[in-house]
Amino acid sequence: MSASPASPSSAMRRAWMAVLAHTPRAELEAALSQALEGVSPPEFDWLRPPETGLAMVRGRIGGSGDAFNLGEATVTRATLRLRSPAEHAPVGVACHLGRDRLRAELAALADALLQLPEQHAHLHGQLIEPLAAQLAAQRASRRQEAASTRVEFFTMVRGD
Amino acid sequence: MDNLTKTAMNPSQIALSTLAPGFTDPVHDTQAVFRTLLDALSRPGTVGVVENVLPAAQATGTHRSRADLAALAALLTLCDYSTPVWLAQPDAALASALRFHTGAPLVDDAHDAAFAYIHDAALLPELEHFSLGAAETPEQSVTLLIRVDALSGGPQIVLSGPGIEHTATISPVGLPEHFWRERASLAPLFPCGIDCYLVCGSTLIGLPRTTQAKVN
Amino acid sequence: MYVAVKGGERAIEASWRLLDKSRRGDTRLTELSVGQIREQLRLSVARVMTEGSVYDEDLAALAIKQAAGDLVEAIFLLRAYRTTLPRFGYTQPLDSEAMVVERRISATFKDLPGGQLLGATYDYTQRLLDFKLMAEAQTDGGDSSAQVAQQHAALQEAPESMPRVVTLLNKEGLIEQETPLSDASEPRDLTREPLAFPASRATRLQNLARGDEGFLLAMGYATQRGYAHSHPFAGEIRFGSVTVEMELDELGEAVEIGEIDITECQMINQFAGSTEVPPTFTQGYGLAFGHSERKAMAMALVDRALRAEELGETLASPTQDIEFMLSHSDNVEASGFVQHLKLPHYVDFQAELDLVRRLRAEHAAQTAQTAQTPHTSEAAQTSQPDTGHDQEEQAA
Repeated sequence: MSASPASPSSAMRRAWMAVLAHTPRAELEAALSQALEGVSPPEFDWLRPPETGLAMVRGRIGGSGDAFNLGEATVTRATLRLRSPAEHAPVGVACHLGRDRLRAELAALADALLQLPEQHAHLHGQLIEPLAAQLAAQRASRRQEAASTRVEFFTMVRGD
Repeated sequence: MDNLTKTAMNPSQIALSTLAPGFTDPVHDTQAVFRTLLDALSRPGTVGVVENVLPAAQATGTHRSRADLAALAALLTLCDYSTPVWLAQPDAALASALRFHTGAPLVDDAHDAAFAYIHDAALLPELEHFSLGAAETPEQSVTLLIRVDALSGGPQIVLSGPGIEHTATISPVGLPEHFWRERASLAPLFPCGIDCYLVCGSTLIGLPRTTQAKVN
Repeated sequence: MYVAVKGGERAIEASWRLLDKSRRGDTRLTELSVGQIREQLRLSVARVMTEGSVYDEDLAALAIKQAAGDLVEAIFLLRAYRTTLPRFGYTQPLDSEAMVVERRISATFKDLPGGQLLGATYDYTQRLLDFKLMAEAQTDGGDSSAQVAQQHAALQEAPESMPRVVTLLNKEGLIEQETPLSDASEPRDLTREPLAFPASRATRLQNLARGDEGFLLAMGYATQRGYAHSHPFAGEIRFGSVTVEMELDELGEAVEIGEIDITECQMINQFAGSTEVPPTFTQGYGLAFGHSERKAMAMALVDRALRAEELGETLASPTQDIEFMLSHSDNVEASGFVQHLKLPHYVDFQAELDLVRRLRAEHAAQTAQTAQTPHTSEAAQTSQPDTGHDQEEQAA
């Protein structure tokens, strides 16, 4: 993907795809319909309709060494192409853990729309940023909860 | 085959604009195509027809890849991420379709291929460049898909062997003469060898390694 | 040879109905939901995902419900189901150092960068049956314990980073480090190619990860009791979530596709060294889906034992025998072979029966013959079994 002033860079795309992958379907559905502000989403064709399969998850030997195959995880993916613009219509891709086909459809659609230069800024601000903030808050709260179980080792000093 | 990670084509080179949808009904479509391929290989010399699949590829004017329908359908049915594919002639649309729909790695070296598509039969390389399998794993040989100009009208070839009651005659147009010579010289290496499909449009003929072919 | 048994169709259908009834149990009680199992039996779900070798909490919970709680049966169901799904590819290797940690402890060092976090664990409970849990189902109405936790949380700061304990030892070069080889080939995948020997460490770890927790626990226990010279220390155990990344063909690069919970254990063992290598610490490694500490620890102990050969140690016990250990670790395989004995073996057994009868007849004839020789006593002479009649009666 080329990084022209009008189109988002691949790093940005990876970032919003990550946000979409971590967002549960209900939140994604609500956020997307809100961001589209009642306008029905544009038409598209499936290059690959949502399908569920497996990805082999890999670990590292010792945590830091060569890779080994740990076990599989269910994954659902989908690829679509918007019908317009006729030339260089964006291809939206979704791939996430789990078996939720509707979520893949919504995420692929969002991914395609976010690639449209005229839609990008608005959609990013209305859809991606609030979801990203929500995810960050959830992570912070999990960290806080775990931190509550941190052990403070107090060394007893016998003083005379 | 799973350990093959060196691919000729950089994945980022998938030409997204050339992508068309795959099978409309993956389960039944691939079963139907597989049945056709199996029957063709089981009854060498008979003509198999691939029909009612991949409408996008059949629509005139939107034919994105040069590959004949029978070959495209066969590759989409049989290939997956563990079957390296070698394309004799460059075809970016076909390569992208294979990579996208099947995950099949594209290889530079014909010897590494599980499937090979030769669009221009006249430029068919010598068969020794392909994998013949090994004594303990004869099935790990290549399957060739060779496009010919027509399945009949060319020099007569008389087939005999398993799957053929007496003899069967085929007359494909456009196969180089060295193909039959080289193929015959592989026969003593059984169970190692090469299986072929001759494809033309939506039709194909199967030529398993067990079939004897006599050029008239 | 297995005998085809006809006429059992109706009996089998009746058996299915009885099974459904038995699985459902007392209908006056609310039926278990898959969601309840996923949330409230999460440690069963963790085991079924790890040994079924599919990370999907809902599928594992469904398998547990369907199997009426028989976890090995549930693992079987999950393994069978995975064969119906296509393989999309392989993920990037997990980065456990970047884990969002819920629990992290070490038995080797007290003070660690990031601290020791106890997390949610049974380790510090007193193992007294809690009869309060027998009270009827309660839905959430403001749990007082959660409020207490929140108060504590306000006082604590979440740790910034959790570097590995083994890197602390590495500062003096005391422990072998696992670093990736630049030209490493792809690890063998046991779901695609059968197990073959010699087995690389990557293959062994895949086998152990899918292996039965009970078997690994027993073998790990054995290594501590002298069946292998282990002397292990729990260098680090951590549980939490890690992001999963996978390369997408359409993009040509890796993207995050979600996150999973994993448990990781690094065991530190002594190594006497050799003429070339000075004494150092060596590692055993365990990794599992979900919260599975016992499994990860046992796996790490067994991993270290199986490295005996590679480390030039004397092979003295079955826990160090790679072929023995890896061939018997899979409970689906083991259960299959053990339980296949329930299949009709009628013809086999008939052959056995005939053989035993024949041997008994020979034995009896031999005894009789011995009795007839001059050296035998008179008492033996009077008792001559009529073996011919016996055989005819049995054959009838």
